[in-house]
Amino acid sequence: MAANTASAWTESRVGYASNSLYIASCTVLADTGNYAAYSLKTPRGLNVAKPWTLIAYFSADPVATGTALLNLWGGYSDDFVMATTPGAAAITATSGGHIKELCDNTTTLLVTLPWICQITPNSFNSEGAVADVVTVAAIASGPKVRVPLMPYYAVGIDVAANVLDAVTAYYKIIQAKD
Amino acid sequence: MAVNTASAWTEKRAGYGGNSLYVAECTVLAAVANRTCATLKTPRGLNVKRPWTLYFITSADPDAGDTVTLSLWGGWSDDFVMTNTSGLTTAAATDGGKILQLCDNFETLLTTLSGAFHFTPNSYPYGGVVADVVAVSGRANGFKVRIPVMPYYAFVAQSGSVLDAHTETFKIIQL
Repeated sequence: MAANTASAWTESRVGYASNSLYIASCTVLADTGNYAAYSLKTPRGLNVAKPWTLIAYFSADPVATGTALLNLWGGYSDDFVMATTPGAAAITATSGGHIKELCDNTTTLLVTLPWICQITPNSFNSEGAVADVVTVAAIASGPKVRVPLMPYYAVGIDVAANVLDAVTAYYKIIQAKD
Repeated sequence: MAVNTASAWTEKRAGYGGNSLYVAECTVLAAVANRTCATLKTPRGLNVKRPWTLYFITSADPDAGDTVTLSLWGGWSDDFVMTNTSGLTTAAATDGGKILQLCDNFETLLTTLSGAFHFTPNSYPYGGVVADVVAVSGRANGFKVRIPVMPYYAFVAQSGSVLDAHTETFKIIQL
């Protein structure tokens, strides 16, 4: 096993000129035998005080013999970073912690059907009590979560009982910034 | 079976002078025996950051022998396009994915009683806590969904078996 490779976030805009949206993309190459593979902290262009869309999909089932979860971590200082020690079973971060599970099973389904999740910060005062949707079984209802406001986030997959297969994870953030 | 035919979106305004609204319309002709059919990506005139209305109607039950769902797909690049090839069994897209199911049964009812959906982007700071309504049995409550903001959208019908020949009409209305 070796360290995973998380790319830097690339930022651009997509859409028809006057209505274009902010988009940031990154890839994470999980090396065989690791228990987790996380992105770098979210980029400067994300306005964490406003809702955003997270898209996640994978080159293959991240763990063919078990269940890999898609999780959201949050960082409370500028040095927030997910640990990348190869083979470490415990998932840790510098200056951050686990916020919540975004998807209960990153199955083969997510190779062809991306997980498109509405993320609404808890400080955004106009949308309230609609329940989170984080199970693959309910994907048709539209994945969604409310999240605690944090300066930084990281997304990634991890497994409890097995180790990840070699897989590439693709993450995209979309936001209306104005 | 053959390739479905999705028209380009036509854009205009409708309504009295100073209060007129933006309207975009397209049709999709589903060829017999395909399992899915889809529109092109939403047009330039739609402001994806603001709420909009989707009106949809079908010329006939899309599949008399099975249940057809209507779903919303979203695209994250300018290349976003739904696959509309002949014999396609499952909806697929370039640079896009399924967001959620809009209607659980795209049926005969919708040949005479159209569906009219409220779409509210998640980033829109008003219109709050109302739960989604996506079941035909609940249509009297008014179809509605909050959706993740995306640069482009498309509307996709998917049958459990194969579609009958029919025409779907979609209209987008926005202030």
